[in-house]
Amino acid sequence: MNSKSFAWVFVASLSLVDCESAAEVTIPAFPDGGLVRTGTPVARDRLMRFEGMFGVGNGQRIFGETVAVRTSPGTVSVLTDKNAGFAVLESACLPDGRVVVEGYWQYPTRTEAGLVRVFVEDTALVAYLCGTEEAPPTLPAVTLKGHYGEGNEFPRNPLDFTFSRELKPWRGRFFTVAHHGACENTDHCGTAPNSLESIRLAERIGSNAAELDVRITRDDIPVLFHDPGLSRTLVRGVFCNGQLAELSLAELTAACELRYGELIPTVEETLDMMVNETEMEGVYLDMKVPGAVLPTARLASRLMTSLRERNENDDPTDDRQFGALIAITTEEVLEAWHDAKKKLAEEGLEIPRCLLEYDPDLVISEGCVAWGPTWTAGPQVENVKKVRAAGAGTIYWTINQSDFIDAFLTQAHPDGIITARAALVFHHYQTLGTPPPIRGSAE
Amino acid sequence: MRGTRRFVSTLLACLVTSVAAAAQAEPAAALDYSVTTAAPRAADTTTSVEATTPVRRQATGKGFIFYPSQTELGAFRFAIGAFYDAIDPAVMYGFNVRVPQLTLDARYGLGDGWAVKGHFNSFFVTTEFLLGAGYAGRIGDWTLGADMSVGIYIGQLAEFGFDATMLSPEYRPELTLGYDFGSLALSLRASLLLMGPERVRVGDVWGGLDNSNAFVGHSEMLYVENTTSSNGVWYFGLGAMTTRAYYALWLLFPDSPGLFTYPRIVAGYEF
Repeated sequence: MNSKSFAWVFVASLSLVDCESAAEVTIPAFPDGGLVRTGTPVARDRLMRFEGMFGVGNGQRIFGETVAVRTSPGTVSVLTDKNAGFAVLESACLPDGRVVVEGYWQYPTRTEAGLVRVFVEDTALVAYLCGTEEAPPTLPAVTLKGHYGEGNEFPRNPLDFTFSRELKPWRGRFFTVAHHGACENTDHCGTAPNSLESIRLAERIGSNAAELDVRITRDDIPVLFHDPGLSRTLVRGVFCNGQLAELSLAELTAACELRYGELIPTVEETLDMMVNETEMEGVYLDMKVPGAVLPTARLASRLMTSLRERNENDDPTDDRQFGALIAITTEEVLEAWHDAKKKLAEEGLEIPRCLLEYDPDLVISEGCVAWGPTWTAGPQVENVKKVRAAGAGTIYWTINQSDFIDAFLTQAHPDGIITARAALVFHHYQTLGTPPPIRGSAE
Repeated sequence: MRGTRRFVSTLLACLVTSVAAAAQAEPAAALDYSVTTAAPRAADTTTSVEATTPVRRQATGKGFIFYPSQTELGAFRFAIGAFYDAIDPAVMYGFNVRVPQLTLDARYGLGDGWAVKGHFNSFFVTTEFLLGAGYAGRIGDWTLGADMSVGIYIGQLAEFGFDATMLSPEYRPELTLGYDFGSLALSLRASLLLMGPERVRVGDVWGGLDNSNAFVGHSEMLYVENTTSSNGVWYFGLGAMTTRAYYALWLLFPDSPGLFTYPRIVAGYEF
């Protein structure tokens, strides 16, 4: 081979080298299903006993010095500020008289993950967690002891969490809003943004609301999708091409899957899932196109009505507090919102609540319940106070960085933060945040 | 992302093929720039036939911006151009507006293969300014250059709902392998993109990035520099950038540290 031929082959070979290092992460799981499989799940109301701020003894290398623990149906979530990490755990009463809490931990922005298995061994606490009696007046604080592992290895590294204090009020007060679900496109959470699976995961890793992007299909069905185009990065499917708005829902469902095989969900099925399968308290429906406003507002309106009926019936255990906000993102969407309100009134439907992103004065004049400023303009403390005085709240989008979460929490005391790092926001709210005042006060 | 890599690979392969075809062409088909190009150094006139190629004369005359050149003290070359990064809208949160960046490059020969270099690129929202030095050597038909630059990365936007700045020092070691195809100089340049510590301002709040890493990526670019009769050089290039999201898109501050790959196209003129 002469030198010129060698040069061509060399350069051509280099052009084919795959330089990207974007390893997918496998979420670890106990191969036999874990001990929870052998026990009885701890009841939802008893899970509340796990909530609080905990000090970390062994295991600080993974979980940092403190963790916030909160619960949702079937899940105990351990949330740390170390690399925005979280542990998603299940708990069960075991035949041997212990309560096991086990599952996996993960850093969403990195490739590290592992297994966790800890136990509650205090007999009085186990008796409460696994029984049906009222809590005795002197129930001991929760201490969790066990082990963690890294990768798929069996947990063998010592780990313990010791209760230090109650959580600051957050349900109904401060919204950790999942940015289009649990994670960003470039993360390794195993779920695609704007999928039902991602919303379910978002609750398990620290969110109590979700910001979701709404577009409209050719047959006027509002669905969750961020971009106008069906990008290869977001969707799979040989025939899944072009613009989302050019496809009917049937075509979209038949042709397209999201990154991990999920279907593109409709807004209707999303609201149904959030209300009936989670304890999330709200959804921020980001109107990406004006055409999505009316059909989405209809769904939000019907949901409001059904929740009111549900909460006014004779069964208080059936009550459900959930807010669906129509997020107005542009002047064009605002015009569509005005038209939608007229149409809903003609149809005899309630007007759902709105959030306006770009102008705090319009938030007030439009009667919206919240302002949604971008964080890239800074905390804008005076505007936060202004909308609060008018009875509206403030939810920033989208803050993922510790320094800025801290600064915005301490300077502006917002009602919520949209984030892809729910564990981080929840933990920092619990350590630095001030529960926002009841909306409408000028505090 | 796999589709992007395949696209880049295909384009690079096409580029290589076209250069190869140019190199295989009859010598009579190549333009003779010898009248207008700078005279080679005395030592070069005693070497092989390649010493008389337009590329060799430029490389020992004013020098190239990309092709490793061995100019004498005082040789100066200035270039203006642009590059365009075809970043997936999915990484850009759906933003479809992508703006080419203006580039300015300069090279000043120090003799004995050494040179100092300057690079500037900007589309106002993002600006990079680098100063560095490099050495180039020749082994047969091949030339090899090693450069090291340091500079600053500046992001600034005070419109469209933003009141934000990002500042970071930047460090860029580079290796360039060059090949003389007669009137065309082909260069393969591999760059390491190093940055940090980053400082970001929004409103009156300053802070850092949680998942920043000194290694923000790497690039592999293939450049073709085409000599002209006016002693200038047209250049174009194509390659792959593999970077963390915040290097390419500081504006959106995505904190995911994963690397993503996108094509970069460059073109310009060297005076």
